[in-house]
Amino acid sequence: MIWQSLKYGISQVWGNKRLIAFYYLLNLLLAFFLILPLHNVLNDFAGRSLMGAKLAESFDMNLFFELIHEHGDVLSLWMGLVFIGAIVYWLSMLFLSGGILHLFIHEKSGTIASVLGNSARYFPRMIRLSLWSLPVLGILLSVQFIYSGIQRLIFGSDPYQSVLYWGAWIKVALRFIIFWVFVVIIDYARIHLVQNDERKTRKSLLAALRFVIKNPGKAFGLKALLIVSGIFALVIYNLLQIPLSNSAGAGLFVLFFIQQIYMIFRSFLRLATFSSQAELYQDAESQERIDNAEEILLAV
Amino acid sequence: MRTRIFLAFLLFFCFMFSSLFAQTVLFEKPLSPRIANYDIDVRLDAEKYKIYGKEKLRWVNKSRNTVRELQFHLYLNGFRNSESTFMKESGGRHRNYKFEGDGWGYIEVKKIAPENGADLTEKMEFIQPDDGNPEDKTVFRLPLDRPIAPGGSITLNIDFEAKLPQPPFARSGAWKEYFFVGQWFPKIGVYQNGKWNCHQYHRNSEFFADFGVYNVKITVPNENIVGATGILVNITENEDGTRTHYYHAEDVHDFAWTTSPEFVEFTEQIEDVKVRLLLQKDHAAQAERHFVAARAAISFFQKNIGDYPYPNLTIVDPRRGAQGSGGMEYPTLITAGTFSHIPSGLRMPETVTVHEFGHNYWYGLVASNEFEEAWLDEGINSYVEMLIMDKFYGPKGSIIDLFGVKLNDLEMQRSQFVQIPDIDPIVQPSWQYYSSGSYGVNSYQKPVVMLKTLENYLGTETMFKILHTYFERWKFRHPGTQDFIQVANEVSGQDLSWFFDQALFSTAKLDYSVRGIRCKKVEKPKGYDYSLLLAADSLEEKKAEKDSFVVENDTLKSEQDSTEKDSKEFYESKVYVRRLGDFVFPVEVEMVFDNGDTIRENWDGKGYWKKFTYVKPAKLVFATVDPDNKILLDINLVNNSKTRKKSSAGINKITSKWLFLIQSFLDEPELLNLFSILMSIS
Repeated sequence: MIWQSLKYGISQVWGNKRLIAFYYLLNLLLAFFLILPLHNVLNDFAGRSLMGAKLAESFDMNLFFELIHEHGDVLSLWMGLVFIGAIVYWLSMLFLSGGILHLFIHEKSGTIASVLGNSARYFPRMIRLSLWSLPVLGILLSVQFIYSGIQRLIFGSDPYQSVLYWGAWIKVALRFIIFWVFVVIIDYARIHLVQNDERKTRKSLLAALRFVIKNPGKAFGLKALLIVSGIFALVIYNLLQIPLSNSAGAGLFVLFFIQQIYMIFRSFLRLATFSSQAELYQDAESQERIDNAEEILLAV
Repeated sequence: MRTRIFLAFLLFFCFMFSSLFAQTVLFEKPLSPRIANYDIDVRLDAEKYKIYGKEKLRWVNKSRNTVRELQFHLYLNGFRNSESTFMKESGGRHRNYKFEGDGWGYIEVKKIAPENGADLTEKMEFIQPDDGNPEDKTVFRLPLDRPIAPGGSITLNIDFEAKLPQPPFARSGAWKEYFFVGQWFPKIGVYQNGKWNCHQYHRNSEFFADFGVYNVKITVPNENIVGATGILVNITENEDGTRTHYYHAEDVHDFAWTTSPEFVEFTEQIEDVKVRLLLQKDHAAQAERHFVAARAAISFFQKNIGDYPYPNLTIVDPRRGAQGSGGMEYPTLITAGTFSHIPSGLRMPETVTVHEFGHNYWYGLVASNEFEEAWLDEGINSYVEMLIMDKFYGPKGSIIDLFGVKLNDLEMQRSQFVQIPDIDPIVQPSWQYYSSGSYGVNSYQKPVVMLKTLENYLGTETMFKILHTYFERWKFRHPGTQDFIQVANEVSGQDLSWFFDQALFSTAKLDYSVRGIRCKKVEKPKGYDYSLLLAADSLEEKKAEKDSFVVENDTLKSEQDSTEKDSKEFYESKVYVRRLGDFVFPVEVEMVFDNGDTIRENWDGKGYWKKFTYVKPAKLVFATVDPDNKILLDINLVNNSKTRKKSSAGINKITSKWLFLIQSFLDEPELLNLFSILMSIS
């Protein structure tokens, strides 16, 4: 079922290439908007100096520190802007998720306008769902504190630094897992919401929890496949970018091109996740309905 | 027969005595004046974090004055309560560590009396020569019944008790089974220029003391490993389950020790120095990193600065939770600092080892007054640390070489200097700086940048000669800033007071800048009564006569290459150089033209600006002030050059990388989770 869903999901995204472009461009445009002030500050600061010219060969730490000294306040503002940009991007993704899921579940193919229209329709519910999901996130995150407790139980309040070091890695791994579990739950809650046009977002959240608990292998297996694909792409990207990381001119252009190919793949993967998960959820639900009907028939 | 047996016994005892004596003499001839000599018997109560000591001090009056009172430091009283000068100044914070809880420390003199003299304990009087804070008990004076004449001496017996702060704070203290015991005994001040130089313990100050001989017996639990200043003479077992470790040191001006049952011990002979490394168990894998750094430091110092006269060096790795005792220097004993699994590209243990070893020269052997002129130790030492780190681990990435980020020692030092370059002068008492940040910059980073600038100005060989001469001339003495300047002037054969006056005693900023460059085609003059000098026809005439002519304010210079005699197009290039700070420094200015011609001009840097004008058959491409990047005191290196055309390639490269980072961050914010590793370790 996982492979079928993945295959179906990928083919469905492939059939809606404009969506990939839309998703990718949104990411690129926002990043471009955020990088522009930094580019201008750097250009004003060092654009007509030899140090600026030498940046093409190697980065000069003196430039970095002098930039902080001269434009520290501007850089602080810029960091704030990046933070706000991240929130805006997250909200945009939340906004679009309704329309995209509607497309994958109900329409199979459609226009950007219809995606945007449906996104607007589901957006208030998506916001409510996100708010309802916060307690779930809180509960999941508390798992790392259980780890801290176990560590304290075993090693006491004064462990060796190596214990703290490996403990930190374990916590990082735990947080990644927690985050992925949370994302899986929320994804299925959104699917439930769109599929059933559910008004009560709590119900969607509970339905998603039920689904994930009943089908952990399928739900996490599919997600794991997509995560592994992402990691695989990252490894390939890194292998390609290392020889180009210090290049300038044409090499820099090639590097930029590879980076953007990677980001397009990320957009594709994100959409494939939606599509495959929606397919998996529908399949599992219909299977459940069939099983229920068979049980009723047998009982009759 | 009896006589023979008696003689044999006598010979045996003479031999034993002489061999014992030989063991405890390091230098046949004293290397220092040996003014303050201590025999201390100290016992550690590990459970109460207390030490009980009996001290015999022999102080020699080598001044020309009769001394009627003595002054002593009681450093541990800096941690006695929240009202001490140290605590008030620091707010309980020192080197990023906060003093918390109830781990106060103190030291109390129980009895003080001259040998064969009356008890003077009642006459002790706490004084506060620096700030008058009546709550500060870090210095006391002791009026003497019998004054000490020039050349005379006094021997005092002092009983004291001290409690170490927990966890270690500002260099000294205890945590669990680990003890680092520094500034721990009643220590006499320095009698200098007819008065006592005995400052209170301040947040930003370190120490100043006279040289002498130390015999210290340290009694600790049986299982404890001990490291201390000097050489280990012997260890004796006691009936109460303790051991007494007897250490002897000569021609040093301080004594510190450490003990813990958890130390893992490593030793290595590096040149003529036996290096002993006391590491924490979970840092044992980093022994080689420490030794590599020690090898680099010892070989550099012995080759370039002077001989390290002591036979040994002990490097102590503070316990987890006790990093407040890390990164500190004592004669022949230093504390380093590291973390478990620290990446090899983060050279913290190496830097600290190199730095603290260097202090054995600039604090240990050249005993300048760190209270009043901290830069003579910290600044010169940081400069040499930078030379060593960038030579052995650099030149790029000597401090950080991780994930493509490379930072060398000089860049690190300069980065901090440029943030606050002009709040305080370098030379002033350490407790009078605007802030601890300003103390740090002016005692460590600015001197590094200043000395590197001086090195670039005088040449590396001359600079090394200055350091070598300063060390050899002033070792085992108490030099001041003027003594360093005198050596620099003498060795360089120049009067460098113009440089030191600005760099050491003022807050003047150094900033030269190419403010603008202009380049335009020379047109034929129009209108009535124009000067023939700049007329194109005239230029052609000039070409034949002279190779160049240049305008400098009122002077015209121009140039014509013989291969371009037929060229009709001339360009007038103007370069505007400005001095933006008050620091005056002679600078070079380089102009590069599009035909490959390069012109270098010297400017004494005294005026507020200088304009260079050239008429050449080539366009100016760029102009640079200080083209060889010698003047690192310049707080803004970016404005040192100006290109005629904007060059965005480098900036595009950086911003494209950042663009991708932002794209990734937006798409995968969960990756930020990885940063928590750094937070957890630190």
